[in-house]
Amino acid sequence: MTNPVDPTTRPEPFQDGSLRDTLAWVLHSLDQPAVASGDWIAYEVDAKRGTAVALLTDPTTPLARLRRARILWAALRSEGERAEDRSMGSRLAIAAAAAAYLFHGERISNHDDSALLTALRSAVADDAVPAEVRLMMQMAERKLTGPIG
Amino acid sequence: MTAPSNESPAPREAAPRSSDEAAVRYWGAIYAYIRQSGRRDEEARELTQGFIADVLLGRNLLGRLDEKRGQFRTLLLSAVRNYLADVYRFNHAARRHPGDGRVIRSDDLANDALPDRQNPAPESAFHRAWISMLIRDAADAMRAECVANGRDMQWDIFESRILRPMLEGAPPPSYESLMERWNLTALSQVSNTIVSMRRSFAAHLVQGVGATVDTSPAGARGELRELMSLLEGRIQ
Repeated sequence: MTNPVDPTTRPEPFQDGSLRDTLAWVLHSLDQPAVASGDWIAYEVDAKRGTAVALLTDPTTPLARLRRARILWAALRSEGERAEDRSMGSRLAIAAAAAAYLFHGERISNHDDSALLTALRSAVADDAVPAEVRLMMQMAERKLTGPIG
Repeated sequence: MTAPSNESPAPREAAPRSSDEAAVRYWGAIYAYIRQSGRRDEEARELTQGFIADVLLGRNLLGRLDEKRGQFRTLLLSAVRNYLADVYRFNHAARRHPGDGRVIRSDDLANDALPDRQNPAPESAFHRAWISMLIRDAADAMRAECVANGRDMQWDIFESRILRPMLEGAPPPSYESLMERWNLTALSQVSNTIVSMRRSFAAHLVQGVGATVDTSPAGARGELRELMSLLEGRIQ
Protein backbone atom coordinates (compact mmCIF):
# COMPACT_ATOMS: atom_id res chain seq x y z
CA MET A 1 0.00 0.00 0.00
CA THR A 2 1.16 3.44 -0.82
CA ASN A 3 1.86 6.04 1.80
CA PRO A 4 -1.07 8.29 2.60
CA VAL A 5 -1.01 11.58 0.75
CA ASP A 6 -1.02 14.65 2.90
CA PRO A 7 -3.99 16.57 1.52
CA THR A 8 -2.73 19.82 2.97
CA THR A 9 0.07 19.72 0.42
CA ARG A 10 -2.33 19.30 -2.47
CA PRO A 11 -3.17 22.47 -4.36
CA GLU A 12 -6.80 23.44 -4.75
CA PRO A 13 -8.36 23.16 -8.21
CA PHE A 14 -8.43 26.38 -10.21
CA GLN A 15 -11.66 28.27 -10.73
CA ASP A 16 -13.91 27.28 -13.63
CA GLY A 17 -13.37 30.61 -15.39
CA SER A 18 -9.59 30.25 -15.26
CA LEU A 19 -9.77 26.72 -16.60
CA ARG A 20 -12.15 27.73 -19.40
CA ASP A 21 -9.93 30.66 -20.42
CA THR A 22 -6.84 28.47 -20.48
CA LEU A 23 -8.43 25.68 -22.48
CA ALA A 24 -9.97 28.24 -24.84
CA TRP A 25 -6.69 29.79 -25.88
CA VAL A 26 -4.99 26.43 -26.16
CA LEU A 27 -7.78 25.18 -28.46
CA HIS A 28 -7.65 28.45 -30.42
CA SER A 29 -3.94 27.91 -31.03
CA LEU A 30 -4.64 24.42 -32.35
CA ASP A 31 -7.50 25.50 -34.60
CA GLN A 32 -6.06 28.76 -35.95
CA PRO A 33 -2.37 29.00 -35.08
CA ALA A 34 -1.63 32.18 -37.02
CA VAL A 35 -4.74 34.05 -35.88
CA ALA A 36 -3.96 32.94 -32.32
CA SER A 37 -0.50 34.50 -32.37
CA GLY A 38 -2.02 37.78 -33.61
CA ASP A 39 -4.67 37.58 -30.91
CA TRP A 40 -2.11 36.96 -28.17
CA ILE A 41 -0.38 40.19 -29.08
CA ALA A 42 -3.73 41.99 -29.17
CA TYR A 43 -4.38 40.63 -25.67
CA GLU A 44 -1.01 41.98 -24.53
CA VAL A 45 -1.92 45.43 -25.78
CA ASP A 46 -5.54 45.48 -24.68
CA ALA A 47 -6.63 42.59 -22.46
CA LYS A 48 -10.20 43.88 -22.34
CA ARG A 49 -10.68 43.71 -26.10
CA GLY A 50 -8.47 40.65 -26.20
CA THR A 51 -8.43 39.78 -29.90
CA ALA A 52 -7.11 41.34 -33.08
CA VAL A 53 -10.65 41.62 -34.44
CA ALA A 54 -11.94 43.43 -31.36
CA LEU A 55 -8.94 45.74 -31.17
CA LEU A 56 -8.95 46.66 -34.86
CA THR A 57 -12.65 47.03 -35.54
CA ASP A 58 -13.65 49.05 -32.48
CA PRO A 59 -13.70 52.75 -33.41
CA THR A 60 -13.10 53.63 -29.76
CA THR A 61 -9.79 51.76 -29.47
CA PRO A 62 -7.34 54.45 -28.34
CA LEU A 63 -4.78 55.51 -30.89
CA ALA A 64 -1.92 54.74 -28.47
CA ARG A 65 -3.01 51.10 -28.37
CA LEU A 66 -3.12 50.88 -32.13
CA ARG A 67 0.39 52.31 -32.26
CA ARG A 68 1.65 49.80 -29.73
CA ALA A 69 -0.10 46.92 -31.46
CA ARG A 70 1.37 47.93 -34.80
CA ILE A 71 4.88 47.91 -33.34
CA LEU A 72 4.42 44.47 -31.78
CA TRP A 73 2.79 42.96 -34.86
CA ALA A 74 5.58 44.42 -37.00
CA ALA A 75 8.07 42.71 -34.68
CA LEU A 76 6.17 39.46 -35.11
CA ARG A 77 6.53 39.98 -38.85
CA SER A 78 10.30 40.30 -38.59
CA GLU A 79 11.08 37.94 -35.68
CA GLY A 80 8.20 35.45 -35.56
CA GLU A 81 9.18 31.81 -35.23
CA ARG A 82 6.93 30.53 -37.97
CA ALA A 83 6.23 31.72 -41.50
CA GLU A 84 2.52 31.93 -40.73
CA ASP A 85 3.24 34.13 -37.68
CA ARG A 86 5.40 36.43 -39.77
CA SER A 87 2.74 36.67 -42.46
CA MET A 88 -0.02 37.39 -39.94
CA GLY A 89 2.20 39.93 -38.18
CA SER A 90 2.67 41.73 -41.46
CA ARG A 91 -1.06 41.80 -42.22
CA LEU A 92 -2.08 42.95 -38.77
CA ALA A 93 0.57 45.68 -38.65
CA ILE A 94 -0.96 47.11 -41.82
CA ALA A 95 -4.42 46.64 -40.36
CA ALA A 96 -3.41 48.68 -37.30
CA ALA A 97 -2.26 51.48 -39.58
CA ALA A 98 -5.56 51.22 -41.45
CA ALA A 99 -7.59 51.39 -38.23
CA ALA A 100 -5.63 54.43 -37.02
CA TYR A 101 -6.32 56.17 -40.32
CA LEU A 102 -9.97 55.10 -40.54
CA PHE A 103 -11.03 55.82 -36.97
CA HIS A 104 -8.62 58.57 -35.92
CA GLY A 105 -7.44 60.11 -39.20
CA GLU A 106 -3.84 59.47 -38.14
CA ARG A 107 -0.93 57.96 -40.03
CA ILE A 108 1.04 55.67 -37.73
CA SER A 109 3.28 53.97 -40.27
CA ASN A 110 5.92 55.21 -42.66
CA HIS A 111 4.03 54.05 -45.74
CA ASP A 112 3.21 56.65 -48.37
CA ASP A 113 -0.29 56.47 -49.85
CA SER A 114 0.73 54.26 -52.71
CA ALA A 115 2.59 51.76 -50.53
CA LEU A 116 -0.21 51.74 -47.97
CA LEU A 117 -2.82 51.06 -50.65
CA THR A 118 -0.77 48.23 -52.10
CA ALA A 119 -0.32 46.67 -48.66
CA LEU A 120 -4.00 47.11 -47.81
CA ARG A 121 -5.16 45.47 -51.03
CA SER A 122 -2.81 42.58 -50.50
CA ALA A 123 -4.02 42.08 -46.93
CA VAL A 124 -7.68 42.34 -47.94
CA ALA A 125 -7.13 39.53 -50.43
CA ASP A 126 -5.61 37.26 -47.78
CA ASP A 127 -8.20 34.79 -46.48
CA ALA A 128 -6.03 34.03 -43.47
CA VAL A 129 -6.88 37.48 -42.10
CA PRO A 130 -10.19 37.52 -40.17
CA ALA A 131 -13.09 38.75 -42.33
CA GLU A 132 -14.00 41.61 -39.98
CA VAL A 133 -10.48 42.98 -40.18
CA ARG A 134 -10.49 42.75 -43.97
CA LEU A 135 -13.77 44.67 -44.06
CA MET A 136 -12.28 47.42 -41.89
CA MET A 137 -9.29 47.60 -44.21
CA GLN A 138 -11.59 47.95 -47.22
CA MET A 139 -13.24 50.92 -45.52
CA ALA A 140 -9.83 52.45 -44.85
CA GLU A 141 -8.90 51.87 -48.47
CA ARG A 142 -12.03 53.72 -49.61
CA LYS A 143 -11.28 56.58 -47.24
CA LEU A 144 -7.71 56.75 -48.53
CA THR A 145 -8.66 56.83 -52.18
CA GLY A 146 -11.35 59.43 -51.43
CA PRO A 147 -14.53 60.27 -53.30
CA ILE A 148 -14.18 60.13 -57.04
CA GLY A 149 -14.85 63.34 -58.98
CA MET B 1 17.63 37.27 -27.60
CA THR B 2 17.50 33.54 -27.79
CA ALA B 3 14.13 32.39 -29.02
CA PRO B 4 12.50 29.73 -26.91
CA SER B 5 12.39 26.31 -28.41
CA ASN B 6 9.15 25.59 -30.15
CA GLU B 7 9.79 21.96 -30.77
CA SER B 8 7.40 19.36 -29.49
CA PRO B 9 8.06 18.53 -25.88
CA ALA B 10 9.75 15.26 -25.04
CA PRO B 11 7.26 12.39 -24.89
CA ARG B 12 5.70 12.00 -21.50
CA GLU B 13 4.84 8.70 -19.92
CA ALA B 14 1.22 7.72 -20.00
CA ALA B 15 1.05 6.80 -16.37
CA PRO B 16 2.97 7.67 -13.24
CA ARG B 17 5.92 5.38 -12.69
CA SER B 18 5.40 4.63 -9.01
CA SER B 19 2.44 4.10 -6.78
CA ASP B 20 3.34 7.17 -4.74
CA GLU B 21 3.42 9.22 -7.91
CA ALA B 22 0.01 7.88 -8.87
CA ALA B 23 -1.38 8.64 -5.45
CA VAL B 24 -0.18 12.21 -5.64
CA ARG B 25 -1.21 12.73 -9.23
CA TYR B 26 -4.80 11.52 -9.02
CA TRP B 27 -5.53 12.27 -5.38
CA GLY B 28 -7.11 15.64 -6.10
CA ALA B 29 -9.63 14.45 -8.68
CA ILE B 30 -10.61 11.36 -6.68
CA TYR B 31 -10.98 13.34 -3.46
CA ALA B 32 -12.99 16.06 -5.24
CA TYR B 33 -15.52 13.50 -6.47
CA ILE B 34 -15.86 11.74 -3.13
CA ARG B 35 -16.07 14.94 -1.11
CA GLN B 36 -18.65 16.42 -3.45
CA SER B 37 -20.74 13.27 -3.20
CA GLY B 38 -21.63 14.32 0.32
CA ARG B 39 -18.89 12.81 2.48
CA ARG B 40 -17.34 14.86 5.24
CA ASP B 41 -13.73 15.93 4.77
CA GLU B 42 -12.17 13.30 7.00
CA GLU B 43 -14.27 10.49 5.57
CA ALA B 44 -13.57 11.66 2.02
CA ARG B 45 -9.83 11.56 2.72
CA GLU B 46 -10.05 8.03 4.07
CA LEU B 47 -12.15 6.85 1.15
CA THR B 48 -9.76 8.48 -1.29
CA GLN B 49 -6.85 6.70 0.31
CA GLY B 50 -8.82 3.46 0.31
CA PHE B 51 -9.66 3.79 -3.35
CA ILE B 52 -6.05 4.47 -4.29
CA ALA B 53 -4.82 1.46 -2.31
CA ASP B 54 -7.60 -1.00 -3.18
CA VAL B 55 -8.52 -0.10 -6.74
CA LEU B 56 -6.03 2.21 -8.40
CA LEU B 57 -3.09 0.15 -7.20
CA GLY B 58 -4.67 -3.01 -5.78
CA ARG B 59 -6.63 -3.84 -8.93
CA ASN B 60 -3.99 -2.29 -11.17
CA LEU B 61 -6.22 0.34 -12.71
CA LEU B 62 -3.10 2.12 -13.87
CA GLY B 63 -2.10 -0.96 -15.85
CA ARG B 64 -5.27 -0.58 -17.88
CA LEU B 65 -4.26 2.83 -19.08
CA ASP B 66 -3.60 1.98 -22.68
CA GLU B 67 -4.95 2.78 -26.07
CA LYS B 68 -7.57 0.07 -26.11
CA ARG B 69 -9.11 1.32 -22.90
CA GLY B 70 -9.79 4.77 -24.28
CA GLN B 71 -9.90 7.69 -21.91
CA PHE B 72 -8.31 7.05 -18.56
CA ARG B 73 -10.37 9.93 -17.14
CA THR B 74 -13.67 8.18 -17.75
CA LEU B 75 -12.26 4.86 -16.57
CA LEU B 76 -11.09 6.43 -13.33
CA LEU B 77 -14.35 8.30 -12.83
CA SER B 78 -16.50 5.20 -13.22
CA ALA B 79 -14.15 3.23 -10.96
CA VAL B 80 -14.53 5.83 -8.18
CA ARG B 81 -18.29 5.84 -8.64
CA ASN B 82 -18.43 2.04 -8.41
CA TYR B 83 -16.15 2.04 -5.40
CA LEU B 84 -18.47 4.40 -3.52
CA ALA B 85 -21.46 2.27 -4.45
CA ASP B 86 -19.63 -0.82 -3.14
CA VAL B 87 -18.77 0.96 0.10
CA TYR B 88 -22.37 2.08 0.49
CA ARG B 89 -23.72 -1.42 -0.11
CA PHE B 90 -21.19 -2.93 2.28
CA ASN B 91 -22.04 -0.49 5.06
CA HIS B 92 -25.74 -0.87 4.42
CA ALA B 93 -25.57 -4.66 4.56
CA ALA B 94 -23.51 -4.57 7.73
CA ARG B 95 -26.14 -2.46 9.40
CA ARG B 96 -28.99 -4.69 8.29
CA HIS B 97 -27.16 -7.77 9.54
CA PRO B 98 -25.04 -6.62 12.46
CA GLY B 99 -24.63 -10.20 13.64
CA ASP B 100 -24.48 -9.19 17.29
CA GLY B 101 -28.18 -9.29 18.04
CA ARG B 102 -28.50 -5.58 18.49
CA VAL B 103 -31.53 -3.74 17.17
CA ILE B 104 -30.97 -1.58 14.14
CA ARG B 105 -31.99 2.04 14.64
CA SER B 106 -33.18 4.10 11.76
CA ASP B 107 -30.52 6.70 12.71
CA ASP B 108 -27.85 4.24 11.61
CA LEU B 109 -29.18 4.29 8.09
CA ALA B 110 -29.86 8.00 8.07
CA ASN B 111 -26.22 8.67 8.83
CA ASP B 112 -25.13 6.95 5.64
CA ALA B 113 -23.26 9.28 3.39
CA LEU B 114 -25.69 9.83 0.58
CA PRO B 115 -24.84 12.38 -2.08
CA ASP B 116 -25.71 15.93 -1.13
CA ARG B 117 -27.97 17.14 -3.90
CA GLN B 118 -27.52 20.75 -2.78
CA ASN B 119 -23.93 20.67 -4.03
CA PRO B 120 -22.72 20.71 -7.62
CA ALA B 121 -22.46 17.31 -9.20
CA PRO B 122 -19.49 15.24 -8.05
CA GLU B 123 -18.62 14.75 -11.70
CA SER B 124 -18.12 18.52 -12.11
CA ALA B 125 -15.78 18.61 -9.13
CA PHE B 126 -13.88 15.63 -10.51
CA HIS B 127 -13.44 17.27 -13.91
CA ARG B 128 -12.38 20.60 -12.48
CA ALA B 129 -9.70 18.88 -10.40
CA TRP B 130 -8.70 16.74 -13.38
CA ILE B 131 -8.21 19.74 -15.70
CA SER B 132 -6.34 21.60 -12.96
CA MET B 133 -4.03 18.59 -12.68
CA LEU B 134 -3.37 18.59 -16.44
CA ILE B 135 -2.62 22.31 -16.46
CA ARG B 136 -0.27 22.03 -13.48
CA ASP B 137 1.49 19.08 -15.11
CA ALA B 138 1.99 21.05 -18.33
CA ALA B 139 3.32 24.04 -16.42
CA ASP B 140 5.65 21.87 -14.33
CA ALA B 141 7.01 20.10 -17.41
CA MET B 142 7.52 23.37 -19.20
CA ARG B 143 9.25 24.97 -16.23
CA ALA B 144 11.61 22.01 -15.91
CA GLU B 145 12.40 22.15 -19.60
CA CYS B 146 13.07 25.89 -19.50
CA VAL B 147 15.33 25.59 -16.47
CA ALA B 148 17.23 22.69 -18.03
CA ASN B 149 17.79 24.71 -21.19
CA GLY B 150 18.77 27.98 -19.56
CA ARG B 151 15.55 29.71 -20.56
CA ASP B 152 14.72 31.12 -17.14
CA MET B 153 13.88 34.49 -18.64
CA GLN B 154 11.32 33.04 -21.04
CA TRP B 155 9.73 31.03 -18.24
CA ASP B 156 9.60 34.00 -15.91
CA ILE B 157 7.94 36.20 -18.53
CA PHE B 158 5.37 33.55 -19.34
CA GLU B 159 4.63 32.61 -15.76
CA SER B 160 4.38 36.14 -14.40
CA ARG B 161 2.61 37.71 -17.35
CA ILE B 162 0.28 34.90 -18.48
CA LEU B 163 0.00 31.86 -16.23
CA ARG B 164 -0.32 33.37 -12.78
CA PRO B 165 -2.70 36.16 -13.83
CA MET B 166 -4.88 33.70 -15.72
CA LEU B 167 -4.94 30.92 -13.16
CA GLU B 168 -4.55 32.76 -9.87
CA GLY B 169 -5.71 36.28 -10.66
CA ALA B 170 -2.25 37.70 -9.88
CA PRO B 171 -1.63 41.18 -11.31
CA PRO B 172 0.59 40.92 -14.41
CA PRO B 173 3.86 42.88 -14.33
CA SER B 174 4.21 45.63 -16.92
CA TYR B 175 6.32 45.14 -20.02
CA GLU B 176 8.62 47.84 -18.75
CA SER B 177 9.28 46.06 -15.46
CA LEU B 178 9.97 42.78 -17.26
CA MET B 179 12.37 44.55 -19.61
CA GLU B 180 14.17 46.05 -16.66
CA ARG B 181 14.27 42.74 -14.77
CA TRP B 182 15.81 40.91 -17.73
CA ASN B 183 17.78 43.74 -19.26
CA LEU B 184 15.80 43.72 -22.49
CA THR B 185 15.80 46.60 -24.93
CA ALA B 186 12.57 46.22 -26.92
CA LEU B 187 8.93 45.59 -26.12
CA SER B 188 8.82 43.03 -28.89
CA GLN B 189 11.29 40.81 -27.03
CA VAL B 190 8.61 40.36 -24.41
CA SER B 191 5.69 39.96 -26.81
CA ASN B 192 7.46 37.49 -29.08
CA THR B 193 8.55 35.48 -26.07
CA ILE B 194 4.95 35.32 -24.94
CA VAL B 195 3.79 34.09 -28.35
CA SER B 196 6.43 31.34 -28.35
CA MET B 197 5.78 30.31 -24.78
CA ARG B 198 2.02 30.18 -25.19
CA ARG B 199 2.52 27.86 -28.14
CA SER B 200 4.95 25.74 -26.16
CA PHE B 201 2.51 25.51 -23.25
CA ALA B 202 -0.24 24.42 -25.63
CA ALA B 203 2.05 21.68 -26.96
CA HIS B 204 2.82 20.49 -23.42
CA LEU B 205 -0.85 20.45 -22.48
CA VAL B 206 -1.81 18.55 -25.62
CA GLN B 207 0.88 16.02 -24.88
CA GLY B 208 -0.23 15.61 -21.28
CA VAL B 209 -3.85 15.17 -22.34
CA GLY B 210 -2.74 12.75 -25.04
CA ALA B 211 -1.08 10.58 -22.43
CA THR B 212 -4.48 10.01 -20.82
CA VAL B 213 -6.27 9.04 -24.00
CA ASP B 214 -4.12 7.71 -26.82
CA THR B 215 -1.06 8.81 -28.69
CA SER B 216 -2.65 10.62 -31.62
CA PRO B 217 -2.89 14.43 -31.66
CA ALA B 218 -6.49 14.06 -32.85
CA GLY B 219 -7.31 12.04 -29.75
CA ALA B 220 -5.81 14.72 -27.50
CA ARG B 221 -7.68 17.51 -29.28
CA GLY B 222 -10.94 15.61 -29.01
CA GLU B 223 -10.37 15.12 -25.30
CA LEU B 224 -9.53 18.81 -24.86
CA ARG B 225 -12.78 19.76 -26.59
CA GLU B 226 -14.69 17.35 -24.41
CA LEU B 227 -13.11 18.81 -21.28
CA MET B 228 -14.10 22.27 -22.46
CA SER B 229 -17.67 21.08 -23.05
CA LEU B 230 -17.74 19.56 -19.58
CA LEU B 231 -16.60 22.85 -18.06
CA GLU B 232 -19.25 24.72 -19.97
CA GLY B 233 -21.91 22.27 -18.85
CA ARG B 234 -22.74 21.23 -22.41
CA ILE B 235 -22.27 17.58 -21.51
CA GLN B 236 -22.49 15.76 -18.19
